Amino acid sequence: MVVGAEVCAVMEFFLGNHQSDFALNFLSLFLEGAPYILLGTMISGFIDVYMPSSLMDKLLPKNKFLAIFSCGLMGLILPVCECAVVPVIRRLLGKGLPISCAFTYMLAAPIVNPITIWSTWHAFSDQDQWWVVISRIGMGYGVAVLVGIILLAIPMEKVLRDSILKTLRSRADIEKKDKAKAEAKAKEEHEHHHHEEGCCGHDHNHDHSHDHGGSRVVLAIRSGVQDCVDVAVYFSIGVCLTAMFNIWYVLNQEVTTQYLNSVWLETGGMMVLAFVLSVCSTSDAFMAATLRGVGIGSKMAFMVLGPMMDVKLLFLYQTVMRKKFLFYFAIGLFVLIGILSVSWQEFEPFRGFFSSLEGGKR
Amino acid sequence: MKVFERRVMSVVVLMIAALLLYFYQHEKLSGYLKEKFHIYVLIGGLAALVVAVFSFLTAGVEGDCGHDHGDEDEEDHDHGGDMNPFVALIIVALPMFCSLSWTTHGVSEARQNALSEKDVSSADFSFNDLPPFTLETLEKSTSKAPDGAFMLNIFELFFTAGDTVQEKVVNGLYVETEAKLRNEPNRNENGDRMRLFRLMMTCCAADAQAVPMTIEFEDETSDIGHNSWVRVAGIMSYERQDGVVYPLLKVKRIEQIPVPEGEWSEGLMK
Repeated sequence: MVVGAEVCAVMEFFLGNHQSDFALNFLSLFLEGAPYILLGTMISGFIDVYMPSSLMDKLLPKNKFLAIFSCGLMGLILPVCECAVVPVIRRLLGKGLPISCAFTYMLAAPIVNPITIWSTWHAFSDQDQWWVVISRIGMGYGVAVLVGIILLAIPMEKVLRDSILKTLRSRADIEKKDKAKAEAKAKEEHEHHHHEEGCCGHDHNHDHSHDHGGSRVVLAIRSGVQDCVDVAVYFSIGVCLTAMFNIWYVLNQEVTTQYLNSVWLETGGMMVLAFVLSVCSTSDAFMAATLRGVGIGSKMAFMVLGPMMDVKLLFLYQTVMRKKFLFYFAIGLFVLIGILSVSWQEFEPFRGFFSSLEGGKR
Repeated sequence: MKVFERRVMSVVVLMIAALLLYFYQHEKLSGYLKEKFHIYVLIGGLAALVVAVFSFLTAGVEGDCGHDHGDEDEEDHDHGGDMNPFVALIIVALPMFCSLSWTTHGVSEARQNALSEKDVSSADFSFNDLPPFTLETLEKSTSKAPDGAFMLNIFELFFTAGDTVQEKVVNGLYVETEAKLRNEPNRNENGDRMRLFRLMMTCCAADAQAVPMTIEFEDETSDIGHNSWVRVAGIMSYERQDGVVYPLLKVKRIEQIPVPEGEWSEGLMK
């Protein structure tokens, strides 16, 4: 309690007279994100216990590139936002999902999912709706797939943190043991069969299966709770920083916006805004749509970078990635999405085509 | 010890559940989140409660997932997490409790001032919920003050600027609106102007933006204190500067009013 009070005092010192704004920002972002964190971690708990490791091998195309392209669309089946997707991919990695596929799913799912698509459609109902929705899906999917392909060339030891690598190795051992156990069981059944044929007088044909149902639910929820606690820690730190950045940004927005006088700076500025505000991908389109004075490329940068990289995600990603890799990953996403967004803005002929689909509504 | 650690983790989830459920029943939830998110707060809170209680009560149960993790295998499903549960409890609890003790459930005066300082035009926004209207529809759908002023909110008035059709309808109209009052930092060479503003939330309080409108007095500006809520009536007009259209209300009457009921940005400060 004494330590808590002292930390509170330190926070008060750094926040000056902005404690109430920090509290409002922190609580609003926490209340907005926590239900999704819980959803994601519970899904991850059930994946952990109920999903056989071999399922991924069976479901995914054998071709690495096709597998990456498919994983970019997995959000349509398993729609989760950026907070929920991180614990889910932690588990999927443990279940044998290749790292390239896991990252593709992680980056694409918050954008390429029905909820986000619907909210973008609704938010931009009077602003080139078709163009914006298709652009967002296309760019989000494209960036995710590109990252997945790049990751094919990077050893996972350089990407994943040690605890995840340890889990992966442990799972590989378990698979070996399970396989050995299955072979032994098959051999035993084979011998039983011979016994029966030999008429020894006993009924050896009894059921070897056990009912794991109840205890597996306990394990699944326990696993989900552990994930929830892990993720909640990073989420809390991320939300704290977001709340502080937000205070700083509002107090200095006049200074920061006066420099955003070119398309590159405006796009960069919108990406910084997405990074700082950490708005949920399911609703960020509503915010982007209200900023009509901003170019479509800059809005696109806001809506594509935000679900892939923001302050709270920077901390959530640390549950999966090494810090050094995360640094390059963040910079890479920032540059790639910036370039793509500015270039996208120049595709006026395509934009005109989509506008004509909407009856020329611009 | 492992059972105790599991129970500590359940307490972390229980804390999250308590926070969500506490705010769901709190009258000031609208000051944090847009209404569409309230249901997720309830569902999330109830789900977290069930999960936390279940996890707490079954902390001593040793499950069997059907795999052979071996005696030496520490990396089973019960991996213990990346974080010591006690450290996790402190990290999650601390900002939560600090925020609960600091919050006024509203936006501070300093932040409101900073947000409303910026000179924005309606072209910077899109307001999809504003239906097109004519004077006839306005007459039918809008209440009038006893002196005949159309009672419109500041968002409706602000977003007419730049829309030539709606500008024509509203220009010259006698209207009344309620908003907060502050000094006008821009386009105020004669010193006879002040600014009205109201905060608009898109998803949550962290993304709040101010929607401002300039008011012009015939003689001197009002002596009503800054950051007071006011009811203003006057003639609507528009002014164009550097290609931007700004709404301008020429004041006929102004009075101080209490904070409007349901105003999310004020919290418990008033």
